Amino acid sequence: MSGERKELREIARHLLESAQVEVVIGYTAGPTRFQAAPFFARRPEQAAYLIFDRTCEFNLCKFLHRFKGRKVAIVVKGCDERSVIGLIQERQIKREDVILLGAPCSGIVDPEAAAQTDGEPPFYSMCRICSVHNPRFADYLIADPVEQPPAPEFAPEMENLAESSINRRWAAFRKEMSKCILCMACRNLCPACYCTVCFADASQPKWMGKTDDLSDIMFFHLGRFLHLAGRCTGCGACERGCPMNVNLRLYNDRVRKDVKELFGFEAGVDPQAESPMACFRADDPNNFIM
Amino acid sequence: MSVMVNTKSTATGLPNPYLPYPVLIEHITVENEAADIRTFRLRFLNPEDRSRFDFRVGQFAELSVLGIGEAPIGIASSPLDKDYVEFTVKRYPTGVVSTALHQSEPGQQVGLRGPLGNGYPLERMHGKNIVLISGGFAVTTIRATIRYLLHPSVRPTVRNITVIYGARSPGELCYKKEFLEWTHRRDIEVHLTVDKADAGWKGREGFVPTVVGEVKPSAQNAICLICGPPIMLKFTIPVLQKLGFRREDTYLSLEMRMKCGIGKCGRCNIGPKYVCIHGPVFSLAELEQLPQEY
Amino acid sequence: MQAKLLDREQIKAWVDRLLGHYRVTAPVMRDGIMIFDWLETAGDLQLPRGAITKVSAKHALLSRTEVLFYYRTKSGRATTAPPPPPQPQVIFGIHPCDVQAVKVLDAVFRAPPYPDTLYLARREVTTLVGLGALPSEVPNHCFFESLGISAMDNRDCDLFLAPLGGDKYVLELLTEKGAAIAASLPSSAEPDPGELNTLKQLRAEAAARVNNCFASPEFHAAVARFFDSPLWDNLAETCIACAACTYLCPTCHCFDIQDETHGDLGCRVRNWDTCQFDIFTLHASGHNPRPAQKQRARQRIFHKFDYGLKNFGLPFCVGCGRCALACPLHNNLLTILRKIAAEKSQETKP
Repeated sequence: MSGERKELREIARHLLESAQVEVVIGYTAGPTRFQAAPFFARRPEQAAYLIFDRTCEFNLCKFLHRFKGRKVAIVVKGCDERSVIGLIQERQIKREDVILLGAPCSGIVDPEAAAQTDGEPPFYSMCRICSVHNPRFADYLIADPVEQPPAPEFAPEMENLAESSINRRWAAFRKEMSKCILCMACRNLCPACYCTVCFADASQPKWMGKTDDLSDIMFFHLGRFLHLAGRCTGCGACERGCPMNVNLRLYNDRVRKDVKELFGFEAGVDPQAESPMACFRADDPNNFIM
Repeated sequence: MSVMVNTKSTATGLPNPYLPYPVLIEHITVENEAADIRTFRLRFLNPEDRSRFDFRVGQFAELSVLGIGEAPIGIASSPLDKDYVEFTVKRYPTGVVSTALHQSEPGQQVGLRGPLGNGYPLERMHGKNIVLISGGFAVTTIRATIRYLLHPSVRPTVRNITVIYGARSPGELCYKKEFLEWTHRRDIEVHLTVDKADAGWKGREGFVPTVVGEVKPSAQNAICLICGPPIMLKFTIPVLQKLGFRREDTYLSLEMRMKCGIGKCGRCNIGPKYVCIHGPVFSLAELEQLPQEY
Repeated sequence: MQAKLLDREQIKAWVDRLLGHYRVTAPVMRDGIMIFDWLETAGDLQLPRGAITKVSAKHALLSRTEVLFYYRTKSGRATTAPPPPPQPQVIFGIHPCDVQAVKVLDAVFRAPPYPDTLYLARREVTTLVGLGALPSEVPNHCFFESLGISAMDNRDCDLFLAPLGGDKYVLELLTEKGAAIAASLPSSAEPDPGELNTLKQLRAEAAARVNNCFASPEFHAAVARFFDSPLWDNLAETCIACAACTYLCPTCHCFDIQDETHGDLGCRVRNWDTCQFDIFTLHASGHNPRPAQKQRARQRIFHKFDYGLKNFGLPFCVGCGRCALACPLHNNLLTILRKIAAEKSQETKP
C-alpha cells in the first residue's frame, strides 16, 4: 500500500533539507506545452521547479543506474514504479536507497497527437488500457488516488494477434520491423537494458550487423525481446520513445504473458518474488524445450 | 585467378575511395618478446598500385582484412624502399583486425587503402637539426622517418639527427637489429633506453623523459618529432619545453579510432580537425588550440 | 524563369509519369506517421502543410546501409567488385530546410582531398523538387528562419513547388536537371499575373521572418566561448544518448563501416552511426577521447554550430526541429541555442 499524501514540492524540499536524499529525480516544465523535462533537484530551493501533470511522460527509472548505492527520491507513475520494483528484483538497487514519490496518473498526453488536434489533447493509447494508474508501494503519494477502471492485463492487440495464423503473425512482424531504423532508442530508454556491452555492439564475436537488411533488424529486436523475458515490466518507454512508431509493446507483452503463464511471474509486481531467470525449480515447465 | 583493378570502379569512372589495393603479405617479423607486435612486409599485387601509393613519412594507411574489417596503421617503411611497404601492428585482444592480421601467414592477400593523413612536416625539416623521440610501440612512423632521412639522397638535406627511443624492457624494443646498427653510424646519434633492464642488457636504463633530460638535445634550429603513449608525452613535453623547444617546432602523431580515414564518417575529430586528414601529425601549438578530447 | 501553375491532381499525374522512369522519394503516410519513402504509386504522395516528415530525405543520398564494394575470398586471396551504379532518382517535396541539409551533405562528401565518389555518383543522378510552406503554416518547432532560410526559399533546388494557398502551386523551373523532369509535366497553364503577385507577396512575407540569429559570426563566436560552460553538464544529465536525434537529423552523416560476409561472399558496407554512443570513439586500447555523455552531447552541438562553420562556412543544422520533436526527454536544441545567444548578449552589455 502506498504511503501518506504529501505535496510534491514540500516533500521534495523536506527530503533535501534533511539530507535524507542527495537528489530528487522528477519533472519540470519542458520546452513546449505538452512536454515535461526530467529534472534533478539537488538543493532544497530547486524543489520549487518540480511539477507533476499529464505531460510527465519519461520513465525516470532509467536514471537510477547512475545513483546506485546512493540515496535518491524519485517521482514514479504506476508504470514507472514497476521498473523500480523490477530493478530491486534484479538487485540493481536497494529498496532502502530509494524514496518513492508516487504519482497517481490517469494518462499522459501524446504530444504528437496533441499537435494534430485542436480539441482535448489525447492520451497515449497505452495509457487508455493501463492497469496501474495508482502506485502501490510509494513512500508518499503526491496526488490523490485516481480511479482505476477495469483494464486488460496485456494489450488486446497482442491477444488478437496471438490468435491468428502464423502467416499473418509473420507478415505483421515483418511490417513492424520494416519501420525500424536501428537507432537503438528503445534499448537506450529501457530501464531494464543496462548491460555494459550490449549484444548488438559486441565485436568479438560480432553477433549481428546493423545494416538495413530486415534480418539484422529482426535479430536485434528478437534478441532484445528474449533478453527482456521475465524482466520487461511493460512500462511502454520503448514504444513511446521510438521515432518510427514501431509497435514494440506488442511483442514485449507477448513475452510477458508467456512468462506469466509458464512461470507465474511478472516483473515489477512483487518485490519479494524471485525472477525465473535467477532461480531454478525442479518443476519449471520445459514443454517448450524440444 | 583474376584480380580486379581498383581504379575506375564506379559509374562516374572515378576511383572508389573505399576500395583497397590488393597486397600480399610477403614476410612477417615478430618484433617483440611478447610476440604481440608484428611487422608485415607487403607487396602490391599490381605493380602500378605501388606508384599510386606514393606516400610521405608520418602518413598511415587503412589495412584491410576482407571479411573482418579495416584498421588505421602508420606506415613503418621509407617511401624510398620501393619494392615493398611495411606496417607494424600491435595486437589488441579487443581488436578484430589486429587479431586477424596476427593470425595470418605470408602469401595471404590483404588490402591497403591510402596513403592517408598529412605526414611529418618535411618542408620544415630542411636544413634543421632533427630530434626524434619515441616510446614503445609508437616508434613505427619514427622508424620510417629515420630510414628515409638516412637515405643518401635525403641525408644531406637535414643537419644533425638525434634519436631517443625507449621501451618497457629490452624484449619490447622494436626494430632491434636496425636500431643497434644505427647506434654505430656516425651520421646519426641514437640513444636507446629501457624502463627496466634485464641481465643481458648492456645499454641505458631510464624512462624516456629522463633520458631526454640527460641527453639534452639542442633546441637550436631544431624540429622535434615525438611519438609515444600518452604518459610518455605527458612527462616528455615539459622537458622539451625546458630545453627551449618551441611549440610550433614540436610535432606529435596522434592515434584515433577511425573508419573511413578520409574525413567523411565524422568519428576521428578533435574539435574541427579530423585526425585522418588534418593529422595525424599536429604541432603542439596546433593541439593547444583544440579541445583536449584525444 | 519558367513557371507553371499546378493543382494537386496535376502534381500527382506528373509524379505518376515520373515513376515510369525514376525512383521517387516523397513524403508519405505510414502507420500514422509521415516519412520520406520511395513511392509505389503517386496516390501515396503527401504535400505536407504545417508539418514536416518524421525522417528526412537523407536516405536517398546517404542510404541507411550502402555497399562500398563486394568481395569474394578464397584460400587467402580475394577479388572485389563495385556496387551497382545508382539509378536516376527524384527527391520530391523536400522543404527548404531539408534542401539546405543536402547542401551540407554535398559540402562534406565533395570535400577534398578525397571526394566521396559513391555519394557524388548518387547526387549526380538526383533531382530535387523543393516544396515551400506558407509563412502562416510554418510549424512551431521549426527554427530554420533563424538560420537564414525562408519558408519559400528555392535556393539549390532543381524545381520548386511554391504553395499559393488552397490547391494551387506555382512550379518554378530552376535548372537544366529540373527541366529534364519537367518535360513529363501534364499540360498546364502558366501562372497569371495575379498568381505571380501572390507568390511574390508570400515570398516577401516569408523572407521578412528570416534572420541570421543562429548563423551569424557573433553567434558563432559565442558558441566557441561556450566550450567549457556548465551548460553541457546540465544537458548531459538529461540526455540518455538514445540517438533518435541524430538518426532523424537531415544533416547528420556519421557512418560506420562493417564487413558483412556469408561464406566466401561478402560486402563492405557503411551504416548510419551516431556520435552519441560511447563506442563511437572507443579505441581498441580502451581509451575513449569522449568518455562521458557530457563530451558527446557537446560534440553534437559543436559539430553543428562550430566545426561545420569552421570547415565549410555552413552551419550543420537547418532548424527543422525534428530532434526536439523526437527527443524522449524533451531536450530542445532551440532552448540551448537561446541560452548561448543570451549569454552572448550579456557579454556585450557595459
